[in-house]
Formats: sequence, structure tokens, C-alpha cells
Amino acid sequence: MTNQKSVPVVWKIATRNLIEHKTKTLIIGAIVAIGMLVLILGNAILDTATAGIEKNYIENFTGDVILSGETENGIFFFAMEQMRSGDESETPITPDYFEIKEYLDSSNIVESWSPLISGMATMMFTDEIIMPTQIFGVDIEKYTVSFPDNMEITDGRMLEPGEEGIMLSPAAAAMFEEAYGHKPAEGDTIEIMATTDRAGMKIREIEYVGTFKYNNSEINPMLGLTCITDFSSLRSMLGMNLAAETVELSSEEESLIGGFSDDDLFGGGLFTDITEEGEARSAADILAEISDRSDVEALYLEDSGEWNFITIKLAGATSNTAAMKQFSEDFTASQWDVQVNDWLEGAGTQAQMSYTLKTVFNAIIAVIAIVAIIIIMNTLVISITERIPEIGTMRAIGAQKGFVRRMITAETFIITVVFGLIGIVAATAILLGLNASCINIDNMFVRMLLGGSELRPVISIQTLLLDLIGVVAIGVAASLYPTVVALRISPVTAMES
Amino acid sequence: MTKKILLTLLTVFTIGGTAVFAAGTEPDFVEIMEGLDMRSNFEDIDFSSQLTIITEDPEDGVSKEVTNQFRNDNNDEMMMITLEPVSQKGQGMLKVGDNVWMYDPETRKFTHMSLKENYGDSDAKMNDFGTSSYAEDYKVSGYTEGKLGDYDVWIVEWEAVNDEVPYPYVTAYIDRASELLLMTKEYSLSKRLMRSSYYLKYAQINDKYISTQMIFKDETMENAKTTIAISSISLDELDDSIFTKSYLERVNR
Repeated sequence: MTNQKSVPVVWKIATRNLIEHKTKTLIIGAIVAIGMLVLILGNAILDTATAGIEKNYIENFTGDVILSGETENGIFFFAMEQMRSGDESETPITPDYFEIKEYLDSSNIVESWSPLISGMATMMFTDEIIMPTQIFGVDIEKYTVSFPDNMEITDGRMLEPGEEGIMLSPAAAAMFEEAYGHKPAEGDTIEIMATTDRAGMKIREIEYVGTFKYNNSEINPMLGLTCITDFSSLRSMLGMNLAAETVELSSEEESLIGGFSDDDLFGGGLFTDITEEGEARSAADILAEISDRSDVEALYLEDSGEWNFITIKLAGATSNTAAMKQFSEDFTASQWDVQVNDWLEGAGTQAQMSYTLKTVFNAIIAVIAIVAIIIIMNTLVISITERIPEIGTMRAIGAQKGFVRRMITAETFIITVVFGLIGIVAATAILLGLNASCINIDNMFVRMLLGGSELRPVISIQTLLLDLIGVVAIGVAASLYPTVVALRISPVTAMES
Repeated sequence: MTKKILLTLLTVFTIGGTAVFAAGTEPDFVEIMEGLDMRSNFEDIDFSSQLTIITEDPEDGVSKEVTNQFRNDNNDEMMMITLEPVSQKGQGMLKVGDNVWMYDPETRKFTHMSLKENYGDSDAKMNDFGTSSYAEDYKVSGYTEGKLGDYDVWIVEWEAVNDEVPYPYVTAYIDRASELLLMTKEYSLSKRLMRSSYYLKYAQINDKYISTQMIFKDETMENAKTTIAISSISLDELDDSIFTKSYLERVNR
């Protein structure tokens, strides 16, 4: 048999073999079809989820790239998430703001940018009704340019550029109503307290402007609890409008810094002489000292330019990777200690969880693929063993080893393509069904993972083709060993058996 | 002769038995707790001092606050006014009974706080300042004897009897000789160690004792602690007006 003639013959014999060994064909085919179905459904759901999360976060919340101060602990837009991670440090400040501002304004890869201050504070409605809350301090003009459709005003109005005021989250507005028996209205003030290392405890009264709801806030429950203020109010609350002070310790105070063991502390000398402890100061002295506030006023900065983050939306088709590389190179050249972060790093643990889940799913698929290869291989080995006399006869009447190899490969190829296509059709039907029925998800956790409240998985032709090629490759890989088994047998032995 | 022997044996057993009984007598811990409160509360005299509060945080480094404290324990009142750092100058804490208000001089606003909350960013609780009420807040659930450094101590288990205190379970190390508190290990409801407090130095003022050096160590975070040193102690009489909100508003006018 020549190679030219053997091609159609190979396919003909392979097809005939598959039909003759229906049970084996169906077993392998079912494995391939189910594998294809799971792969497509899983990938469709996870691809849709990650695409949804990416779109929602980038368009409404993080931008494509986030600039921050340098930190080893990761960046956190939400203080609550930072606390949950065990990181109790203060959110770093993005340095060299004024220089970066000029750079971003003149960059041709930047479509828009918006700085952000993130702070945790407590709303003090009454002595009994208080509410810890996440607050974003924004330059509302830049914020609405960068994220034009990210919120809906449900009551009152939007903060105006240059205006001092607060927009409450739905949760904070509800708490206000519970405390005062009426909805917040323009002119009402909200008392907010924040404690920071830099400024100690600060209490501010900020005028209510409106109540808003982040669109797609189901992607992160923290968004539903976040209030927005003008940046100068939040800066003042967090002491970011004050020049940093240096801590001066006496040698005795220095000696108290550091670790110790319980027993070492109690080595004798429990009592101290009261006369050794300094001169007493009268209340009048204290009054005089406190009343002079010139030193406090000297600490205030006109515009500190202190922001925690700068969110950047990239122009046109600029890729994140390329933009981040360019920013990093330019900032290093300018000696600005700015950290360049991908949007996902600022999106928080919920968004990252979805990506982790995708990686886990892919790992599971890899394990399933290995198991499928073994099952298909075993089934093929059994099938070929049963066909040893037939293969021997073929070899005896002149079939070369290459012919037998091509025949078995063709069998596997036909099975994987045919049943792979069946899997694709079944998966597409299920996906169409899911899209048509538009399943609403009530579970908050699932909403976060899927990046929305509706299950509408979609899949691209490209992904389908890649999945099919993957399945065919798995099938062909599985046929390698059985082919070796078939070719090991000499024609005489095969015919005798 | 037999009578003498019997009498001697009876005497020996009687004395020995009494000694054994005396050695086995439990200390009256309620009395000791009341003593701790009584000796640290200045009921008939006013008290003022300066506190230097140094807080170490593994993430945020070292911060220092200097605060003046005024106490009128008779009325369970206390005022603390921050002198340093400059950015916090004039911030105040007014405590009247179980009510605590913090004051921000910039906006001249007060806010109500709980005794269970931390004092600023330190590891000290609001409850650590002012009058002591161990006997009122805790009951003794057990004790052992032990050693802490050079001191023979009673290691006493306390259980809170109300929810006004920051920690429901406390192991207190009390010096047996002076009956002063040296150390406490403070636990959450789930018995997780939350904080260790050390009372390293005491000053004696008449029949009262005030701890002049304390360490509060956050056991939930490595290398986080606050050291408080008390100096400039005065027992001069204080005007009642000091313990009012209007005093804080006045000093920052």
C-alpha cells in the first residue's frame, strides 16, 4: 500500500473499526464529550466572571493602573479589608504628587486619572447609634470624568467641584434615618470621628449633600458601605493636612523600646521616690500652654498634595503591561518612589478570589485531563488487544507500521472530534438556556465571585476552538501508547493469537 | 511519765496542727482586691500628674504623647489634656463615672466613647486611667502561688461580673509582701490572651500607691506595646470646673 492511497483507506478502516467496536467507541466518546462539556461550561462561567469583574472594577472603581506609595503589604482601597488581612499600618501616601500630576497630564497613553484618599472613620449619629464607615476622599471633578457612570444618586444631589460635603452610602443614610427619624436632607450635618497616629482623634461635622449607590456594588459589598467626601474634609479628618512631626525620645525613654521577658522586668526596686519624678505643674500652667495654638497652626499645610492612590484609565488600546512598564521606567528615571499596581491589586480580595478560583479550576481540569488520558489509553489498549489478529493480518498482507499507527491515530482523532463537537453542541445549548433564563443570584458570595447578580455566561469561538484542539490533543496523546503496543506484535504472532 | 509523754505529744500535735491549719488558710482575695482599689484611689485629695505615653507599632513605628492628667476620685472624675505632639495639642478626654468624652479642639466637638476602647492609638484602654474598681468589676475564681522575677506572688484568676470592663478574664500577679499588682494577663471571652499589663514602679504618697511606670503589651500583634511613665505628681486641690466640658472648650479658646 502506498502512502497516497493509504490516506483514504486509513480513514475508511478507522471509521469501520469505530463502528464495529461500538461499546468502546461510545465509552471513549462519552468521556470526551463530558470532558468537553465541563471544560466549556466551566471556562464560560469563569471567563464571564473574570471579564465582568475586570470591566466593572476598571470602568467604575480602580481604573486600569493604580499608583500608590511603596508598600510590601499590598494595596487596599478598603481599610476593612486591610484590617482583615492583619495589616494595621496606615495606608501609604503616593509621593511626589505634583510632579506625577504634570506627568500624567502630558502622557499620551493616559485617557484620564483621578486621585483618591481612603480612610476609616466612625459616624456618630447619637451616643448610641454609631457606624464605622469607609470613606473615599475624591476630587469630584476628576472622579466623575474618570468614572462617569459608576454611581446613581438615590437622594439629594452630587457633590459639586470645590464644595465641602459628604455623599452617604445607602447603609449610612438608613442609619441616619434610624437615629433621627427622618431621611437626611441637604443642610443636615454628619458628625464623623477618625483616629490616626499622625493627628490623634479628630471630630468633623460634614454637611450632607446626597445619598448614592455604586452601580454594580454587588461585586464588592464594601462598595455599598462606602461614603464619598471632598478630599480636603477627609484629609483634615485623617491629619493629612498637617506636616509630619519627628518623635524625640530621651535616653531613658529609648531604653524602654524593644522586647523583654516578664521576669526580667521584675528584678527588684519596685518603689520610686515621688521627688524624683519631676516638678508638678498647676492647672493654670497647663491652661496657658494649651491656649497658645501658634505652634499647631504652623503645622497646617496649604495643599499637602497627599493622596493614597492615583487611579489611571489608559487611552485607546494601550495594554496594562506596556503602560505599567513605561510608568515604572519613567518614575525610576525621575527618582519618584511610586509603586505601579495593576487594577486587580486594588480591587481587593473578592476580585482576586475569582481569579484564584479560575486558577484552581484550571488545575482541576488539568488533573481531569490526565485521568481522561489514562482512561482513554486503557480503553484503546483493550480495544487494540482484541484486534490483534486483525492487525496481524493487515501487517501480513503488507500493511506497514506507519499505516497501523496512522489508523489508530485516525480512530482517536475521529472519536475526539465527533464527540468533542457533541460536547460543544451540548455545552452551547446549556449556555444558551442559561442566558435565556437569566438566572438571578441571591447569594452574596456567588455574586462576588461571578462579578454580578445575573448568570449570563458567554463563550467565544476562539475559546471553543482552543478547547476542541486541547481535547483532540489529549485524545491523540492517549493513543500513543496503544499504538506502540499494537506495533510491538509481530504479524505471525498476531495471526496465531 | 506516760502522762508527760502524752501531754508532750498532745502539745506537739496541737501546735503543729494549728501551724498546718494556719499555713493552709486562703488569703482573703476580696480584701486584697479592695486594698488594691483603696490604695490607688485618691478619695479625699485631688491628684494631678503628667503622663508620657510611648507607643510602639510594628508597622507605624514609635509615637510619643505627653498628657496632663487631673483626677478627682471622690467624684470619679478625670480630665486628660494632650500637650504633645503639637498636632494633638489640646485634645482632651473627660471621664465622669462610666461616661467618657473625647474633645477635638480644632472643631470644638465632643464625642462619647466607651471605657473599653483604646486610648488613641495606644494599647492602653480608657479604663486604665482614673479610679480603680477591681473589687467591683471582678470576682476571684482561683489562685496559685508563684514567682515573678524577684517577687513572691499570688497568681489570681479574676472573672468579670459586669460588661463594663474591656476583658472578661484576667490573671493577676499580686506581690505577696506589698499586696500591689505587678502584672495582669488579660483574656477575651474565648480565653485568648489579648494583652499583658505590667506595673513596674510604684510611688508611695501617704498611704496611697500610684504606679509610675506601666507597660501595656498587645498580645495579638508582635512588637506592639505602650509604655506609660507618670511624673510631676501633685496633690494640690483642683477646681471642680476642671472636670467639665466647658473647661476643655475654655482652654482652647
